[in-house]
Amino acid sequence: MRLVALLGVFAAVAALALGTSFVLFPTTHLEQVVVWQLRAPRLLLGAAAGACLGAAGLLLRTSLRNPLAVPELLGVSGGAAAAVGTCIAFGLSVPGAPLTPALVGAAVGGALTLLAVRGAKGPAAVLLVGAAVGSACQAVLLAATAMTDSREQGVLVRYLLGSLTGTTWSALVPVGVGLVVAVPALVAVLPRVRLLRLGDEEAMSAGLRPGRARLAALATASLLVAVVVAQAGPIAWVGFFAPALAERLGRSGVVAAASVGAVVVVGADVLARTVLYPIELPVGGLTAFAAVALGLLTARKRVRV
Amino acid sequence: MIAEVPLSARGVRVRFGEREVLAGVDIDVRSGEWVSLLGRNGSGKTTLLRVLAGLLRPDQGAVLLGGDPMAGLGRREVARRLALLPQSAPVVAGLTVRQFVRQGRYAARGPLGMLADTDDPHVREALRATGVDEWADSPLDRLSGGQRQRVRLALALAQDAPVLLLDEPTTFLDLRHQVEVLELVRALQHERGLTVVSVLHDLAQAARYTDRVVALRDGVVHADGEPGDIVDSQFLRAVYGVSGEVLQITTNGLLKTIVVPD
Repeated sequence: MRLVALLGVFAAVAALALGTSFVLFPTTHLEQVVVWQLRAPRLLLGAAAGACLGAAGLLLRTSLRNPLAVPELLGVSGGAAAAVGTCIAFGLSVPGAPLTPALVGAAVGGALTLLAVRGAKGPAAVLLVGAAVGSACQAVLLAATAMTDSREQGVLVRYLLGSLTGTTWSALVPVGVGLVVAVPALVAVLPRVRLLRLGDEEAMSAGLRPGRARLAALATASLLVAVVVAQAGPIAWVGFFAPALAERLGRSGVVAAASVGAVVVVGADVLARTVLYPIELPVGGLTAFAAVALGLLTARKRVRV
Repeated sequence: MIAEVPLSARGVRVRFGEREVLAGVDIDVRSGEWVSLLGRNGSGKTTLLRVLAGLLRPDQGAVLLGGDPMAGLGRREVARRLALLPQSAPVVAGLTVRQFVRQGRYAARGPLGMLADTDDPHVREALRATGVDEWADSPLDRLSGGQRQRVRLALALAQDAPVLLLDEPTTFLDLRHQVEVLELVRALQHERGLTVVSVLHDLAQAARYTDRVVALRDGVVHADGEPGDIVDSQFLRAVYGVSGEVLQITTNGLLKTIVVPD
């Protein structure tokens, strides 16, 4: 965890200092604007997004006792993105947008997948059904993109992979509002989720209603994902690999999963901005790449064992 | 809260589709006694235990817990009065023995109370009573089957409930660990004044360790009494459909039962 903290500090400094102009100590007015009006909110949004996705991934996989039950595979991220994208493409004005459509989409996507999975046992079933729901969401989003003019297509691309481009302080307001609800919900649901790890009968014997607890976990995870997706799109696979990476570092707690998520997104965004400079890559593309690498690593290890 | 009859069932009926698994069961479990539920597979004994534990709602009838209808109690209130050791559970990775046993305090402390990682005397006591304190900080998935069963018992004990239900607690254990678990439960029954209800498959073990046996057949109570009084060859035929001899000897005040099928 010390390593994660160190990397976090490093990534945060890099996020503030690197870019068109290298600025470590902003002195001129322009430098101050670049650092405090452009890079700082982007850093905060990236950290918040990574933390939310990491926490949501941990909630889902723990409460469903399935390492593959993560927002990206449960249709939660895809549902949120499709809902927001559709609203933008058709110019629907929804009160509280983009947070409300994201929340509805996340909940519907997750519920659809879980209903379809119902009865089928094992992580593999979630993988297959989740992939189907995920593709369906992606198809909705692509269809919406195809139907809009080019100016809005740029906006919609964000909801395909996730991007932090053009973050301002005002973009952080709905995130803050979402977090005011999501963080207490997370705190309240955590002890219940921990109890679910022991098995349904054990949890019930200890005084929990497993069905209700699982529903609360799903709702909380949907909220956490919606907060992120509404602003930055579904930053790909962070909900999958942040808890997995934290677990490999020997930590199974929510703080670890959230920290790893935050560091990964901030770090990936620094790379997204600088690697092909002046072209900006969507941060979700880089995190997706990292997830593939981690997946291969894990798969190789499993085969060896 | 120690009621004279801490746990009872009244006219309990449970139906799974067409089949009536429990067809009107009445049972009173008295304070401080160990009752074992016996019967062949499908006789309804596990279903009855699940109904008594509140895991399954009977289609008709009621379970009284400490004199109150269980249906009217919240799940946490039930957990404060009754703990269950289910038959099998997923192996939980990434938890130490202490963290696992600590989860038993959920009903007493509430969800927010569980957030504070304070030292809990009930957890310490449960670890000590089951003899698992030396592995308290080891990962649960490193323990052997026998050790793990003790830890699961510690989880139930940490609830500090006056009634303990055990669903086939000796399954998957070798003879030594079976005896160890049964001895442990009996010691806890006497030390803590626990009321215990268990499903057991081994007739000889049930007769040896428990105060009372309740035999189920076709979803009703077929026989109910002290093992020395009712376990005989007729019982063997009626309850298990096995013809054979039941020999009972008492040495040093302990009843020992030998079952010899023909």
